[in-house]
Parts: sequence; C-alpha cells; structure tokens
Amino acid sequence: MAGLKLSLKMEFRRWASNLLTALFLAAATVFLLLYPGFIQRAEAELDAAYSAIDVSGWFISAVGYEDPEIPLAFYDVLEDSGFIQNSNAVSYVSMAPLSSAVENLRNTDENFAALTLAEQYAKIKTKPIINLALSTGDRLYGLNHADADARFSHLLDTVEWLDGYSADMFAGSEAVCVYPVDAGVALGDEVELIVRRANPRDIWSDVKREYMTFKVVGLHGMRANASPHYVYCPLSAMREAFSDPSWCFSLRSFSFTLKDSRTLNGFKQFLVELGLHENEAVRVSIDDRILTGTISPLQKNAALLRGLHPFFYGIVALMGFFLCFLTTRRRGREYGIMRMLGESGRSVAVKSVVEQVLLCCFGLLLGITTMLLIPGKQSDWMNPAAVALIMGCYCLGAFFAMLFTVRVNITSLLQGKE
Amino acid sequence: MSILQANDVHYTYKSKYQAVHAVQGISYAFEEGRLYAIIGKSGCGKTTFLSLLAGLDLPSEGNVAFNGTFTSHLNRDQYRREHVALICQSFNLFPLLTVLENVMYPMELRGIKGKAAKEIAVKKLDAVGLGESYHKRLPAMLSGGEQQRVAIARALASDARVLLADEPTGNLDTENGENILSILERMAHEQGYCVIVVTHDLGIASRADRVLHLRDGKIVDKH
Repeated sequence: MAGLKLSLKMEFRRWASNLLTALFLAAATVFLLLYPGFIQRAEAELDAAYSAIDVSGWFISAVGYEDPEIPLAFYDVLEDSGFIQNSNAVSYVSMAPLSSAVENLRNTDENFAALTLAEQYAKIKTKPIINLALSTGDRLYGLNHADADARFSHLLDTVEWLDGYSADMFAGSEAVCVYPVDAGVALGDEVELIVRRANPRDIWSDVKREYMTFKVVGLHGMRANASPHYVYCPLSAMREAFSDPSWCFSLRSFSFTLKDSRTLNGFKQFLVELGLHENEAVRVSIDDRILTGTISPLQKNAALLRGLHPFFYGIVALMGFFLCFLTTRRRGREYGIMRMLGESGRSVAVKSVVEQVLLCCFGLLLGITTMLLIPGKQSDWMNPAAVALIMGCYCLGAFFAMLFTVRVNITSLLQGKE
Repeated sequence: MSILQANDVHYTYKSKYQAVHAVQGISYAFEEGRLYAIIGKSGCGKTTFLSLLAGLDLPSEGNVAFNGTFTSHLNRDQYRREHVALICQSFNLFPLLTVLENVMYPMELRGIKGKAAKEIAVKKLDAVGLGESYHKRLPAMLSGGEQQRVAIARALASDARVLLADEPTGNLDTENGENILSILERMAHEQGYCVIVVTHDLGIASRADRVLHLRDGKIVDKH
C-alpha cells in the first residue's frame, strides 16, 4: 500500500497516545484472560458448597403428630428415582412371642382363627396379658439397615451375632431377627411371633393377625424384662411377610438425603408430580435452610460473573471507539494533507485501520507478556479465542470511530481551518 | 496550448440557511511557463477557485479542464497526485515526519520508494536551498520560510507541472516571502511550471506574468 511505511513511522512516533492505548489493551488482555478463572473459581465454590452441604428430608403425617403411614409405593418410587441416598426406612407392627397358652389354644381349638382377641382372652384369661400379645408396646421393627432406627443403632454395639451374620443382614430379605437378650431364646433358635395390625377404632379387635416365624441371628442388650420388647428384622423380610394387601403394610418412618444437593429443585418438582404436596395422609419435609442460605449468595456471585463477561468485551469495544476517536480526531489535519497530496479516502481509511490493528496487536502482546510473568500454568489461562475476541472488539470500536474521524474537508484545510 | 482551463466555472456553497455563490462564471486559460497571481479581498472566491483548479471539488456549473480533459472525468485523487501540487499558507507538513520524509511522501504515493525516492527528495531540497543538515529535522524545528521551502520541495517531488499556491507568503516575514517568491518565479520561468498564486500581496502581483483580479466571485480585471 502506497505510503504505508511513512504512515506507520508517523504512528510509531505518536508514542504517548499509543502507549495509553497499548496499556489499556494490555490491562484488558490480562483481565479478560484471567476472568474465566474467576468464573471457574466461583463455580468451584458453588460446587464445593453443594458437595459439602447435605439436604435431608423425611415423611411426616399430614393429619397429626403420630408416626405417618407411608405407602410403600412412595418408598419404591423414591428409591428408584435416583434423587436420594442413605435412606432410613422403618416399619413396625405390634407383636408378641407366641405364649404356650395361646399355642395350646391354637392347637386345641379348631375355631381359634375366628376368635377375636377378647374371646381368646376369655378362654385363657388366667394368663398374663402380655402373653396374649395384647400389649401394643411390643413391636417387631423392620429396618432397611442397622442405623435406620435410632434406638437400634444405640443397641448395635451390644448385639451378639450368630456366626455368619452381622448388621448387614438388614439389607437382605431373610426371615431373621435380633431378639432381646435373656428372653429365653438362643442364637439360631426359631421363634414364632404373633403379629397384629390393630384396628384403630377398637383396640380389642384386630384388622389382621398372623403367626410368623423368624430365626434368631442376634441378641441385643435390651433385657427381656424391660418393657416394651423390641425385635428387629430386615424390612424386606417384613415386606414379604406382609405382602398380602389386606395387611395394608406401610412404612412408619422414612428419611433420606439427596444424592446431589444441586438436584433439590428437581426433587421438589418430582414430589409435586407424585402428588405429595397435597397428599391427605403424608407430606415430605425437607431441611434446605442451610443449603439455601449458603448457596444463594454464591449462585448470585457466579451468575453475576457470568453475566458480566460479555459486558467487559463490550467495554473493550467502547474503549476502542473512544481511544481511537480521541487519537484520530486530532489527526484530521494529517488526513487532510494526505488527501491534498492525492491519496484516496479509501487508502487513508485502510491505513488507519492497519495502524489500529498493529497497535492492538502490540497491546495484546504486552498483555500476554505480562501474563507470562504471573506464576501459574499457562494452559490455565491462555485462550486464543479470548485474545481474538479482544482484538475483534477493539478493532470494531476503532473502525466505527474512524468512520467519523477519517473524513476531512480538504477545502477547509486549504483555508487553514480544521 | 493551455495546460489548465476554467470554462464558465460557478460554485455555490449551500448551507441550511443560505446559498453563497462563491464563484460566478470564471473562464480563463492558464499556460505553462508563467506565473499567475489571483488577487482580491477576503471572501471574493480566490481560494474556492483555486480548490476547483486543484480538483478538490467540482464546479456547480461549468468545468475545469486539464490538458483538455475535464476534471469531472478524471480520478481527482490521481489528478492531485500526478498533475497538480498545492502549497498552502500554513505549509501543511506532516509534523511527525522529518524534512526528508515529508518530501518523500508524494513519491511513495506514486510507487517510488527507498533509495530512488531519497535521491529525488535530496535533489528537490537542494533546489530550494535546504542542505543535508535540514534532512533529519522535524518541521517544528524549522522557521516559517524553511517550512514553506520544504512544502515547495514536496510539490516539486510530485512531478506535477501545475503548482497552485494559496497565500504562500502569508505567514512569512518580508525576507522569507521574497525568497519564496523567487523560487516560484524560477519554477515558472526557468523550469516551465504553470504557477498560480492566490494572494493579497500586491507586491507579488506586480511580479506575476498575469494578474486576475476577483471580486464577488467574478473576474473584474485581468492583465
């Protein structure tokens, strides 16, 4: 291009204003190359917060303060949903060991199955009530793991296990149980229990009663003479035993932790889809206060950083416009002289563009050189796309500025006016 | 044959509020080897007429012809690059280029670069009395007369045959003004340039071969 060499010499000698532009570009380069790291750091903080803070939830009764009756369908759906982990599921039924009097009555009276509790009591009324399984405090607990029930988890260290068995037995579905110590049974014994589902309207009559046999594989430290008695079996075994729909078997306690706290909103939506937000019997309570309180400012910070990212490139374009406008505006006389000497307007404009592009390259180089002095891995920040975008934004702003400044009135120049 | 000819040239400045008829029907033929002076009061249209001769703009009516070709049919940037050279009252040098680089600039526009351009520039500067000691100075380091001589050297370097000067001595003292006028005379009479000078100075007019007196955009006297 004609006259480019001398034009570039003039540009080079304009070092003061060019230095300002170059320093701005260098600073912008350093900032914008580091900026993605700020976003990553904010997102990492957010991720760390999500990872560190658990969200737990549990079922509650929708109608009162008693233990809820949680349909198994909810348990199964939530377990399979992929949202939750470390669930604690417990169910229980009233039970009692089969007493000899009741056993005798069962073996001798062919109508025994049709007898109500009151009739059984009447027939063997000399026996203690507890032997008739009338005590609703005695319970058979079904747990999905040893820590599902707080009471049993405290007893766990006292449990003597049958060889080949451990607390892992709760994960299975074998009809085994952990019995109170000093109850007159030994490890490995089979016990027959009367389990009943009470009629809530009449404690003397049952909805259903059944005799169930369990193998004793553990003896826990709560003594048999303490009241009430608690026997613990795997939840799956209990489910299998009460699989007949007439039992109306349900969970009495179900709590869980979200696998990934990030899925909280999705999980809440899932619960709504299950109808748990308006279920007449049960609801789900979620403790997300700590998460919400911690995450909210971090989310806002990360969102702000992400949102501002394109804005800063806009600033570069704007500064490109203003810096170029201010520096080239003062060169109106120079452009006029070039035109007066016979240079075309297009040539003047193209030269100006070339000068700005070279100036931009110098500024970028200065910025990248500065970055090299900052300790750390270059691969962490070196982003050719960002460098190209900075250059593009600056040149775009400069180009628009030049549309205003490169045009000159040569006649005014001739008359000594600018 | 005239090298530059103005044929019933009119020019009107139009603004939002008024139209000013700066040049009204000027016709004149300019020949090589002569020094012309265009005189008149401020606002009589001298500079406007000069700018039309230089191809900086086109007449509203009429035409300007260079060697028989209308400027409206020419690439006017090329016309200014190769055929006419302008010298202004305010010298119009590039402040950030040295004396030598200023004179080399028009040559670079015509594709003459490097050593060849430098040699020509040195010759032209010698022709106006600026030796080697001036070559590396910036215009700010020169007096008014010296700057105007650089402008003349630059005009000579462009190889144009028509030299248009708008108040070339306007910012100079008498001695420097006399020096510049002598150079312009030499260019016209010895080197055959067509030199057209716009001036207020009647002293310059008295040294010119032809004088055009303008008033209100028209020629009122020529001799």
